[in-house]
Amino acid sequence: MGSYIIRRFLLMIPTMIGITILLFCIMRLAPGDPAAIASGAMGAAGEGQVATDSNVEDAAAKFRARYRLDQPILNQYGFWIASVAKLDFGNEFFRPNVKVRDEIFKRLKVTVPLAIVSVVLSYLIALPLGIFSAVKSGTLIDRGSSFIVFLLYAVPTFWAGLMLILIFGATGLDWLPVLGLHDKDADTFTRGQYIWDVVRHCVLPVVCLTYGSFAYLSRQMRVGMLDVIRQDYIRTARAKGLSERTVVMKHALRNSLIPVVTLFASVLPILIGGSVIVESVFSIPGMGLYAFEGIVQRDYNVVMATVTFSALLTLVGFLISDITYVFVDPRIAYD
Amino acid sequence: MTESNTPSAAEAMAPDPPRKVSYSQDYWDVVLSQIRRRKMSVWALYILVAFYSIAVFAPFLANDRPIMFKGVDLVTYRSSLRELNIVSRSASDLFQSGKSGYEASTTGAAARQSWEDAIDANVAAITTRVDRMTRQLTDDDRVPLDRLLEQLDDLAAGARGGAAAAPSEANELVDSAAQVLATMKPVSKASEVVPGRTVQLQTSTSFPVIANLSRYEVFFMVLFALILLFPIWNRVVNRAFLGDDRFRMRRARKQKAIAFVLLPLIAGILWQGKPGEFFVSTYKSGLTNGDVVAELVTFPVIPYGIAESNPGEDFRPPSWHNTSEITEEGYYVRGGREGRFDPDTGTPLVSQPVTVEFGEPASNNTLRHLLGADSLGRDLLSRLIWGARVSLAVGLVATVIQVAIGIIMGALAGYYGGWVDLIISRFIEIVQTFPVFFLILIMVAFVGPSILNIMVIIGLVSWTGIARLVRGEFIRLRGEDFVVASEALGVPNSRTIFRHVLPNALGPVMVAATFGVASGILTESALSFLGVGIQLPLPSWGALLIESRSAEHWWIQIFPGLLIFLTVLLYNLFGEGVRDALDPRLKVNR
Repeated sequence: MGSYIIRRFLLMIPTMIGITILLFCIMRLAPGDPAAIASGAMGAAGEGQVATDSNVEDAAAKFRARYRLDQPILNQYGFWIASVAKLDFGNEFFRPNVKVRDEIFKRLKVTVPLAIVSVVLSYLIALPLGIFSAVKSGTLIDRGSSFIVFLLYAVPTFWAGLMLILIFGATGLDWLPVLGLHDKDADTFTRGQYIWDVVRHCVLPVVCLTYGSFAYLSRQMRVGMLDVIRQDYIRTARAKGLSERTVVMKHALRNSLIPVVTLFASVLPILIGGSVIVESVFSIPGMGLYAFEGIVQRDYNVVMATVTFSALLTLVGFLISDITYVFVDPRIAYD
Repeated sequence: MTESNTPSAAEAMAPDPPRKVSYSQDYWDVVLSQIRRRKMSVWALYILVAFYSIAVFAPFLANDRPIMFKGVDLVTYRSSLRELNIVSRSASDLFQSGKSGYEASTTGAAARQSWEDAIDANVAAITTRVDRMTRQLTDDDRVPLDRLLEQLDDLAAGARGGAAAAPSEANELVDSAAQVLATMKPVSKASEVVPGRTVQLQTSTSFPVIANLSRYEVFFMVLFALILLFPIWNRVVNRAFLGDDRFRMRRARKQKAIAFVLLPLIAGILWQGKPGEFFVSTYKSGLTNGDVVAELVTFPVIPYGIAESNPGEDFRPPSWHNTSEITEEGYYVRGGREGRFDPDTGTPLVSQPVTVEFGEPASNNTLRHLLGADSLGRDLLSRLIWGARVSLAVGLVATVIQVAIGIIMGALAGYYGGWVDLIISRFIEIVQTFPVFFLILIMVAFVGPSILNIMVIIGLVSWTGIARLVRGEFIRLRGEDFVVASEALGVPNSRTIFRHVLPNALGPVMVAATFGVASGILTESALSFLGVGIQLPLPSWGALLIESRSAEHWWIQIFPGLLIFLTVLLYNLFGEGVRDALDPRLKVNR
């Protein structure tokens, strides 16, 4: 087992390098120049007037030199990899004294808990619901819940967010705050108040992040369960007089869980992609929003770092789901 | 969900009752009959076709141009008259400079036309305006314009030889245009005519919507007319030409498919419309203030253009809603609207009276703005109908691209195996590890958000799923006898792949493609929502949705999103049906 995990970790390295090369090429070969954006902005701000052409050119050249944008793309990639090896992702282009690594850790503290909560929640709701509607297959309840899940499947995330804001925000029922993670005077709160405030702020984003993966998971759970329930050994279990409860909980459930547990890996990228939208709907300063801001400003360092991190998270997710395979299915053994 | 309508297992197993003894079903017959059994999917398909038809026929449904117009159009005449003077001056300059002079003056220009193109453009500029004028003139009044055209023909013929025209000759053109401007001012009644200075315009019938169609629009309109009328013409063709013979009908399938492509193509190529006269037409305001005098005029059901703003109606709620009621001076009867009073002075901010133009419902009519208006008072329903063109097209084209790439890559990897397979599989793995939405976002933001870019990028990024499917199918089919036989016969690889293996692997691809369209639409709308999507001049549904993020303007957030949701839902429903029909093993609802 240990050697398997090590091997998988080693295999992640070429994939990660492939991803970074692909990303590097896309960014550098695309039109658009961060130096022009930066020097235009900096020149005008620094002198309090419209900068002359030569000034802008100068500033742009300085900017390129500072971030090595004037060098061949291979060299740039080499520098980047070298600094990443030292766990340094460079500084932000437009706030030169902010380290991208520190900022990302700050943002991950927001995004990762949200993602974990929503994964756990979606499993907690989806599994019982999927099992229930598979066991009661064909009844009105099954049809109803399947229909709702099917509807949820087609709801665009950003629209769900906006509708939640419309319904629960100040213009609707006025139950929950809709923007940010804290109240504006959160500093004055006691610890208990503060936590309660954050929880209230997180309700809508978590709902928004959860419903998609929930719909996906409960559908898969239902299918998996239906598949298992038709197997011969379930008929055998029933034939020997076991109670329905034991049949479902002991014999069917464990086997139908296998494919659903591994879906964890495919839920993760959905969550990471969805975090861009959810965070921008609810103005949450998480990693998705950070990546989006980086993309819009053409801040190569930020984009490279955020995408590398999310690819890494995805790969780790794949690995975890492969390992959980072993725990839920003793027939599978890696060595 | 489809299951409420799917037949029970026993029913599904029972074979179709044979309609004719000699007739056996082939693969596509089976697929079609299976899909037809799933009522929900069939209905989803019908509604989707209706959506696409609405998008294609948008100019006839929501437009500020009349569909049919009979009367006198002083505005068009007047503007053509004015512009004629300007364009003939520029044409005259061009002819005087000659080929060498033209090429010398335009070297280094970024978008340089060739000499011939420049002549054509100038000639067309004059002739279209003359056309617009002569349409409304008696034969006698046309004489000066005909003379102008003759001079133009002479000059153009000379210029095509490359020589520069003599200044005096070229100036004659300008002189005639100036004379036309001076002597041919339009009036609508015979009693107003001043001989030598004005001419009376004749009533003419025109079809402004049709005249403004572009070749592409005509192509798609003919295509959709064929699709919508298929049940009728198919039956006619089958009865009249094929004698209702199943075998001949089956063989005629290919010809029918070709007709679906060829007829619209021919119509598009032959189309001689004059697209893009004006982005916003002047008919409605002209009719309101009397510049256009109509005997008979028919407006589309929704008499608002996509870019037509209605002053005084910015962010007006849907007109059936009670907050939308407005007084004659333009004040809202009930509150709830942002910025109604200036906080400092207390004066109302929105007091511009609503102008109701010709053909529009009255100011407080329920039908005035069924889905409300946006920041410039543009009718949201009209914009949604036009926006459907972008949103629906993006998903479809992106899917075509990803299916094409996916099939080729998957076929290569699955058929050849070895190092080809290794490289392609590794590449697929890398792309799949990427957070796909990030990748699309990066590419769109960096390459630029044109509609074509977005289609291509979504296609380029999401082909991996289909490639994996195709690869799997190819590996499965690789060892089958018919593939080995075709190889043994010396059939070229490309033919084996495309004629023998691929048709057998198409089922799962079709299913994936259906869901791919839905996800393409979702992706595009998410991009538009983030503000990096398709913008002007044609907005997509996602772009319409973010015209206001304020919760006050609920109609702007609800309706475009609802349409996206509905479209995706319909595609999913249809996809389920196709999947159940093609591969009962994958069936979700049993």
